[in-house]
Amino acid sequence: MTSRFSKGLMLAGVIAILLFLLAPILVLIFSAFDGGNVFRFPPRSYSLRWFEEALTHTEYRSSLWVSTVLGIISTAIAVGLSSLAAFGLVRGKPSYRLGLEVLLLAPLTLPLVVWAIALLSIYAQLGINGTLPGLILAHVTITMPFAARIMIATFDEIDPRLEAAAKSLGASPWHVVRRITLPLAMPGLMSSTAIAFLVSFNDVVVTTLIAGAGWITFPVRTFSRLRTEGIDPTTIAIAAMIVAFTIVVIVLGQRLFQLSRRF
Amino acid sequence: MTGSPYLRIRSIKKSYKGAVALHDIDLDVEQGAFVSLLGPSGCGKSTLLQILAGLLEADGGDVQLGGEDITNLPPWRRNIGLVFQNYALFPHLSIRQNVRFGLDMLGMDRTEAEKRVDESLAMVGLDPALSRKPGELSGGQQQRVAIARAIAIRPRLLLLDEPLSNLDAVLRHKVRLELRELHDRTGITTIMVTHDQAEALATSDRIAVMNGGRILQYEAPEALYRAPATAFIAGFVGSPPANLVPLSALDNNSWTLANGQVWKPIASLAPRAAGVRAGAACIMALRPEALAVGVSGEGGLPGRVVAIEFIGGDRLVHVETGGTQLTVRVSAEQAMAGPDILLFPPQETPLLFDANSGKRLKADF
Repeated sequence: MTSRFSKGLMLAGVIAILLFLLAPILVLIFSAFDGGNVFRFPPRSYSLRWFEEALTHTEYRSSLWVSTVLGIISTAIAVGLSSLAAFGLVRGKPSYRLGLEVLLLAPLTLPLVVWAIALLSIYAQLGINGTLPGLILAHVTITMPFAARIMIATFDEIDPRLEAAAKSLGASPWHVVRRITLPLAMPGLMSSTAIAFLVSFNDVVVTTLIAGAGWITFPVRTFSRLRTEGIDPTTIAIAAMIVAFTIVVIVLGQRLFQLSRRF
Repeated sequence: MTGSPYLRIRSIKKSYKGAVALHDIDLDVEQGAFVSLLGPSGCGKSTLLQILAGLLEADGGDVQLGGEDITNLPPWRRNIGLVFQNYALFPHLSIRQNVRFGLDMLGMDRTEAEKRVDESLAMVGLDPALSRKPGELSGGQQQRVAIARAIAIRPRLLLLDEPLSNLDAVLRHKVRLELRELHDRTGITTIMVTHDQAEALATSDRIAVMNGGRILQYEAPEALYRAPATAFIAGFVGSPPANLVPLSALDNNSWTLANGQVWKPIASLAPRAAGVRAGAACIMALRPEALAVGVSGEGGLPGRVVAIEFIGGDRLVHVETGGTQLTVRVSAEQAMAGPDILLFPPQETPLLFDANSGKRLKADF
C-alpha cells in the first residue's frame, strides 16, 4: 500500500514538473488559435487568422529565412571547426589541451552583451559590421563553445583502440574516419548540431548589435515589434509552427534512429 | 630456415619524454613460431608490440618481416593482425561486419568475403549465423570475434596484447589452450604480450622475458625455467616462482644468511663449488617444488613454519629462514612436523646469482 502511495506521489510530482516546463508552450499553442486582435490567454474564440497572417506577412517570412540560413551556415562552420578542434585535442593529447579547452569555453563566461560590444568594435575595425559574413562569424563565435564541449565529450568516449584495430585491418586514415570514427561520433554530432542551431536561431543580443538593419532575424524582429507595438499574435502563430516543426523533426529523427539501429 | 629469420627486430629504441621505454631491442622470430613477450607492467612489452603493429614509431632501429623492411610502413599496409585486451570490437557493426571489416578494406569480392567470414568464425568455434552486435556477447565470445577478425585477413603476423587478462580464471585457462591450438592449425606466426608467466609457459615456443625496457632472456619455456639467466627471471617464472635467498660467502664451505645466521650446506651447494670467494654477496634461487622438508640431516637450512596454505593436492608452506621468508611446495599428504624444520635444496648445481648484477654465477651443466 505504501509503495503504491509513494508511486502515486512520484507520478504526481513528475506530472507537475512536466506541466511547469511545458506550460509556456501550451499557452503559446492555444493562443495561436485565438481569434482576437491581441495576445490573450485563455483564448475566447478560435480562428486560423494569425497563421494566415504569418504566412503572408513578408517581413516575418524574410526574417525567418534569414534566421534559418544564418543558423545553417554558422552551425555548419561551428560544428565543423569544433569537431576538428575536439578531435585534435582528444587524440593529439597536446600538453596545452586543458588551456585550450578553457579558451574554447571562454565565451560562456561573460554576458552575451559584453561579447557583442567587443565583437562590434572589432568588426567595425574590420569593416564587416552589418554584413552577412560578419553576422555568421559572430554566430560561429557564440555557438562554438557548445559545439566544442559536446564534441570533446564525444571523442573522449571513443576508444582509440577501435581506430588502431581498424588500421591494423588495413583501413587508411580516411577509411578509419569514415567507417569507425564518424559513425561512432554521429550521436554527438547530431546533438552538437541541434544545440548550435538553436543557440544561433534564438540569439537576440549579439545579432541586434552586429546585424544592424540589414539582416533582421526572426527573434530580433519579434523583439523589436514587442517593444514598439506590444505582443503581436502573428509571432505567437509562427512560434506555434516552429514548435510543431520541431516535434515533427524529433519524431522523424527517433523513427530513423531506431530504423538505423534495426539494420 | 637458414639466413635471416622471418621477423627480425634490430636495435629498436623508444623513449617517452626522456624516459627510456625500450633500449636497443633485438629479437628474431622464426616463421610459424608462438613467442611471448613476458614481463611486469611498464617493462616495454606493449610498446614493442605497438611498434611491430606500426601504431608507434620507434626512435631508431629497424624491423624486417619476411625479408621486407617494414620499419616505416604505415599500419594499414603491414597486414599484421592485432587483438587487444579489451577486444576493441566495433560496437556499431554486427559481428559478421566486424570480421569482414579487414576483407572490405582489401576490396575482396562479397561472396568470397562472406565465405572467409564463415571460415574465420568457425575457426574460433563461433556460430557463423551470429548476427548480433558485439555488446550482446560475453567476454569470452567477444574475444573469439576479435581473434576471428584478426585472422580473417590471413595476417603475416598475429599480435596478441594481453588477450586473456579480461577473462575469468576458468575461461582464461581454456582460451589459452585454444589460442595455442588455433596457432598450430593456422601456422600464423604469433607474438603474445603477457604479464602472466604461467600463460607464457603454457602457450609459447619461446619466451622473451623483459624488464626495464630490455630483453633479459629469450629461451624455450623449459630452458627458462631450468636455467634462468638472472635472479629476476628466477623470481618471476614458476608457480609459485623461485624463492630468492640473499646470502654471502663466509668461507669455502659456509654461507651467511640475511640475519647473520651461518648455513653449512652439502658440498655441491657450498661457495667453493660455485667458485664464489669469501665475502661475495649472492642470491640463491630455490624452487618451492624442489625443496625437501625434514627434521634432521646434513646441510639442511633451518627454518620455522609461519603459515600453511592448502591448494588442493599440494600445500604451500611459508617458512621463515635466516631472515627471509620462503615458500615450499609439498604434497598435501606429507606430514608436517614443526614448527622448526630443515629445508634441503636439491643436490645438483645451485641457481646462484651475483647480488649486484643479478646475473647467473655459474652456467648450468
